[in-house]
Amino acid sequence: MPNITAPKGIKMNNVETAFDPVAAALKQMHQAVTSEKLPDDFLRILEEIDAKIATAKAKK
Amino acid sequence: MSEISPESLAADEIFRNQLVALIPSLRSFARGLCGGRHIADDLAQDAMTRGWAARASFTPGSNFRAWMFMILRNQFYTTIRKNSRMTSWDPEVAERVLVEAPNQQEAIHVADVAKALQKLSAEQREVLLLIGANGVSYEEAAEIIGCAMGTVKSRLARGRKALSELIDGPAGDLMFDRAA
Repeated sequence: MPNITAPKGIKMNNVETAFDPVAAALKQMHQAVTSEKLPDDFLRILEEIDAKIATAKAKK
Repeated sequence: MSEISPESLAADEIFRNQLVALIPSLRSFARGLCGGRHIADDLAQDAMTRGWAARASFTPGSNFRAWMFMILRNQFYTTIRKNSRMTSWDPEVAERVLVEAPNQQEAIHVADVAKALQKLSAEQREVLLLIGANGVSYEEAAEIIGCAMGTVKSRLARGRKALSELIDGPAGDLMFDRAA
């Protein structure tokens, strides 16, 4: 089972507090998602945006 | 046909780069709101598409994150009115990750927090996600939600208490007393 030790003094809304396990868990949830590989669907949207920008540049 | 100005093209490229940088946070906010991974990614993609389509209404230099989070949450509330599945937690992503204090006396499972989060009202959940997970200020959260800062503070306090009670029972809110 993964085991994460948070540093003492986790911040919740810029207020220095004693270790707050719920605040640490919320941060962990956030970090877990942000460190995931980006799914292809997102890349496809970016490709569409890039194509629109390229088309606009070509028309200039 | 209207001419495309160099300024407009430059603004589009800046907008695009800001959007790319924000994708992980959009996915995280959506995941916390929806619970399930796939439905959350659909929501984040929808917000990206809508944001791009509405980019002319964004004021360059203003708070891009708040603007995009607003679009995402508006779409979330529109969707949950039509689709009750968005309030359920997806067990496939409920990893048994343990978060604990250095003294190992106050351990808590991330999955327990995630499950409890989905039992809160959407209004309390979004405040906890914005402030607790994404690290936005009270002021920015108020801008995103479209309410007074005092409302954000009271929803955060009630959300923290409710979350704590769901995890540990009524005595669990003692852990938040230290943060006051």
